[in-house]
Amino acid sequence: MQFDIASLFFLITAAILVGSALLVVTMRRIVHSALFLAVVFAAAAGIYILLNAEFIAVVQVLIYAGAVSILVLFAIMLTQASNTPRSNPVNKTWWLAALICVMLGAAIIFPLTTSPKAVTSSNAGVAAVGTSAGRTASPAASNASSNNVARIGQLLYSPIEYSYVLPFEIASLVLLVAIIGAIVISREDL
Amino acid sequence: MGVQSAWLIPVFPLAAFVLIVFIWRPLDLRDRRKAGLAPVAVPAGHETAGAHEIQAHGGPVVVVTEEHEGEGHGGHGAHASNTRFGWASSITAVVAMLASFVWALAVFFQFLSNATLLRNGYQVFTWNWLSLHINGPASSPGSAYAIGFHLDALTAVMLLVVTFVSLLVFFYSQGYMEGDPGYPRFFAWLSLFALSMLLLVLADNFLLLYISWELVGLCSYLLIGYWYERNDPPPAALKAFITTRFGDFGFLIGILVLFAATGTFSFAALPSAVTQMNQNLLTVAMILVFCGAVGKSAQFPLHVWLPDAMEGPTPVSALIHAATMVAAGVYLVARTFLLFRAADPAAFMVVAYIGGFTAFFAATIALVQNDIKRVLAYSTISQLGYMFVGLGVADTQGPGIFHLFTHAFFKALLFLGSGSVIHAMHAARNPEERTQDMRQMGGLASRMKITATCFLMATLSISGFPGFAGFFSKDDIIGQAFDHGQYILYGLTLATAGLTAFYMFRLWFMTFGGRGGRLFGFWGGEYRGVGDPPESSWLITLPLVLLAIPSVFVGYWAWNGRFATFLQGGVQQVFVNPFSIGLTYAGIGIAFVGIGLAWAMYGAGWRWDLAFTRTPVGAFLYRILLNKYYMDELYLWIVRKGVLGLAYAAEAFDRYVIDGLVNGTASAIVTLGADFRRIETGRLQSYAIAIFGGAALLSAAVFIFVQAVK
Amino acid sequence: MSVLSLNSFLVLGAILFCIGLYGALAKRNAISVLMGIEIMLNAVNITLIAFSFFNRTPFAVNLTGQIFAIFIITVAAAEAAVALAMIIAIYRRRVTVDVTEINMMKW
Repeated sequence: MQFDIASLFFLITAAILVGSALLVVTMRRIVHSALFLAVVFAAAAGIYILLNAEFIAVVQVLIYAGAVSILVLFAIMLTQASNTPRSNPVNKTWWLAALICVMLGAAIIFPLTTSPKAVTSSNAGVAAVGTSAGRTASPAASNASSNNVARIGQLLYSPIEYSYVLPFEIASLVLLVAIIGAIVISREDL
Repeated sequence: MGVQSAWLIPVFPLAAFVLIVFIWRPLDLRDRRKAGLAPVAVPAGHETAGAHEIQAHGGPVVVVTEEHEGEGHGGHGAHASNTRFGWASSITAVVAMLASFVWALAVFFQFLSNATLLRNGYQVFTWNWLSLHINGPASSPGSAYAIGFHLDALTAVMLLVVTFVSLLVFFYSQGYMEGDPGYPRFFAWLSLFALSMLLLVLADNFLLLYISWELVGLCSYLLIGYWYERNDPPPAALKAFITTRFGDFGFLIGILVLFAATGTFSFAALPSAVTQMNQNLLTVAMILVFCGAVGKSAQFPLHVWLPDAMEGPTPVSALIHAATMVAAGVYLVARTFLLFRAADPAAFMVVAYIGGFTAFFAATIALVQNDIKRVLAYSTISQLGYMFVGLGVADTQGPGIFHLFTHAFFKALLFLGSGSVIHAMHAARNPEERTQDMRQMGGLASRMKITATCFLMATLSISGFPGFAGFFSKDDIIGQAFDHGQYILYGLTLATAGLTAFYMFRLWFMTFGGRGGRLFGFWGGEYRGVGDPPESSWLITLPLVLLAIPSVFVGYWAWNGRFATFLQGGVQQVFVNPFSIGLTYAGIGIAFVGIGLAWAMYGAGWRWDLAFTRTPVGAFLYRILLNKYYMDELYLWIVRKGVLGLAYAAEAFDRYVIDGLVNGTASAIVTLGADFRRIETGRLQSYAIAIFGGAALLSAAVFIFVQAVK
Repeated sequence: MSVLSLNSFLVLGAILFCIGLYGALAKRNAISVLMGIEIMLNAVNITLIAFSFFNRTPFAVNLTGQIFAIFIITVAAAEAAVALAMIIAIYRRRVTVDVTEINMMKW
């Protein structure tokens, strides 16, 4: 195992991530859960940076850690599920949920790591991944600059090259609908 | 006249029956209604609609006295006179029976004279009722269900007995039942009985035999319950029918077993067919067939109905329960004698031992009974046992059937004689009191001379007094038992002979003799009853005389083996003069001992038994015998505990198991449904847990079991 | 074998997903359930971006995973908004955010 700085960074960030996630789901006070959720989002952003996805990392922090966490805190405030000692209890069948999650996790991880047919195993190889990458990579990607943001911008907006502009427009429509829906649902006189 | 037209023999009583039922009786009922008489005898003490009607219409007032005199246990109808259609009914019946008797006589004489006929028998007619192809050793298309009449020596003898006794009883009933409101009904049932008995005797196959067997049982029921308005006869009739039904059940199964094994019902074809069937199966089938005889001929353990059947009018007792119907069982065994012979000797032993045991058993009960008809009833059971011993032990049907032959005469005479006595007692006294209790009689010989003389002839005959008919037949059977090495049966029959002599003469002395009579209390004596019993009219005494003659003399037909030879179709049978064997004198001796003891006790008055019955042992024995060994109570207990217990168990099974299953299934489903609907909790997390739980399980299962993924 | 292989990121994603699932299934507070869902979505994002990162040659990169992740973030935000609006609406009506008490569609 190579232990370079990237691996160390990864391990620390992953530890923070998993730890915070565990604390989110186990805290008895909901405000604590919400705060640890913000930490989760931040740690995830750190992982993205490791993965050369700087734009996504920033977007993550902006939206998730910035807006969604605040939204959650607002909701907590509005529903007066305040910081009482037992504002975030577990329900009766929590042990069953834990069991299921463990099983599901094992079902994913175990084949992933041991099965010879998994995509990450030495048989399948990164080479296959690489060749398919050659085909599916956009033409624009091959000669574009190495700037992540620029490349993402290209992929999202470009009118002449292959781009995801239609899903982008639809996503904005989804946001619009969500805004209107949220307003309507939470109206007082509904 | 003759064997070709022998089919007419049952037709005469059939015609009488039809005539009475459809013409005389309706007319009689119409007459009675017009005269304001009740159609049946009403128990005294009740205000009847008839009485009201009389007072309203101002019609004849005869009915009131008639109804009062209809009461009286064991007594008979009133002393009023018959209606004209009543006379019409009785005359029709008597004439029909006379015609049958004449025809039977003709047949008999033809058999006597024609040796070929005697040897081969004669098939009067055959009718193919159903033509089905049955598979069996004796089958041919249509042979299984062919009905017909067959005449042979046994049939000829039986025809003679049945028609003769029936004729005399019919004649006797005219006088005995005179004035009874149901007079036409009585003769209708009597004719029906005669018809069925003749059919039974003439039948050539099991089908017709069984049908007439049941018909005879029906007539017995109808006649025992003739006075149905009283309390006692209906249950007695029901008891008779149901008890014989038990026997008939076994009988039917026996017939069906034989049919299943051989494919035929016919008596002609069966003897050869049964040699091809499994002998053990044949033995079982014959024992089952014998069950029918046990029921009909009132052997142990199905004997309980016969004493109660004495609730019927005395002519009925004489005809059915002494001479003919109860002899049907004996006739059955004789008719199927060849089948019994082909079976294991155990079948004959069953017959003989049941007969022997019953003979002794019934004789012990008869020792202490006080009702005159009950003594005769037990005597009948005992003598029937003798007949079965005779059939079971001997090589041919000869001894058994001869005893049946002689027994019919003297037993009918005994019953008719007792009827005469009862009639006289009834005339002499207040009808409210029992008129059949021998303790209220005594010394009647000097008052009712003809009745007494005839009765004495019969009593001597049944006791086996040397020279009379009963002596020859009884002694033959006792001798046969000894000759064939059946010493137990020999002992039983010998002891029973002594007991029979004793209790019959006890009856004689208590009724006709007594203290103060001539010859040390033999003839006449003190009368312990009330009033002055008169001699009965000639209508009653003539049949007595006519029966007394054969009771004495018919035994001589057995001399030189003539009867036995006749019965075997002309094959000469060995005859041993009874007076030459020492064994006979044992029988004679024991009969004399019985007679002498009875004379001493009941004639001369040496009543040592009165002191004996006061001792503990004596009282115990007396009580057991008087209560018929408590057999009725035993059966009632069995029914209560056994049958009803089984019924309750079955009902509980039905209620708890079957209904439980059904209802339980329903409630289980309802409960299951109620439990299952709680899965729909309405909470999303439960559903989510279900989804993901299923996914986790599935993926684990896939990874473990599916090779492709590994 | 490097720690920074695709395997580690996928395993990380899987673990996070399961933790988020536990939060969604086992917590009684509705907002907590939402938080669990957000964690799950983040796990998916990590997985996608990991695929995107490791699916490349020295000359070309494939950014499909990242685009997908952007859209997921978008939709997740919208969904969080709507979900919280619903929670507030329910709270107004029944003064509870306990999911075990919101069970009117039951037997």
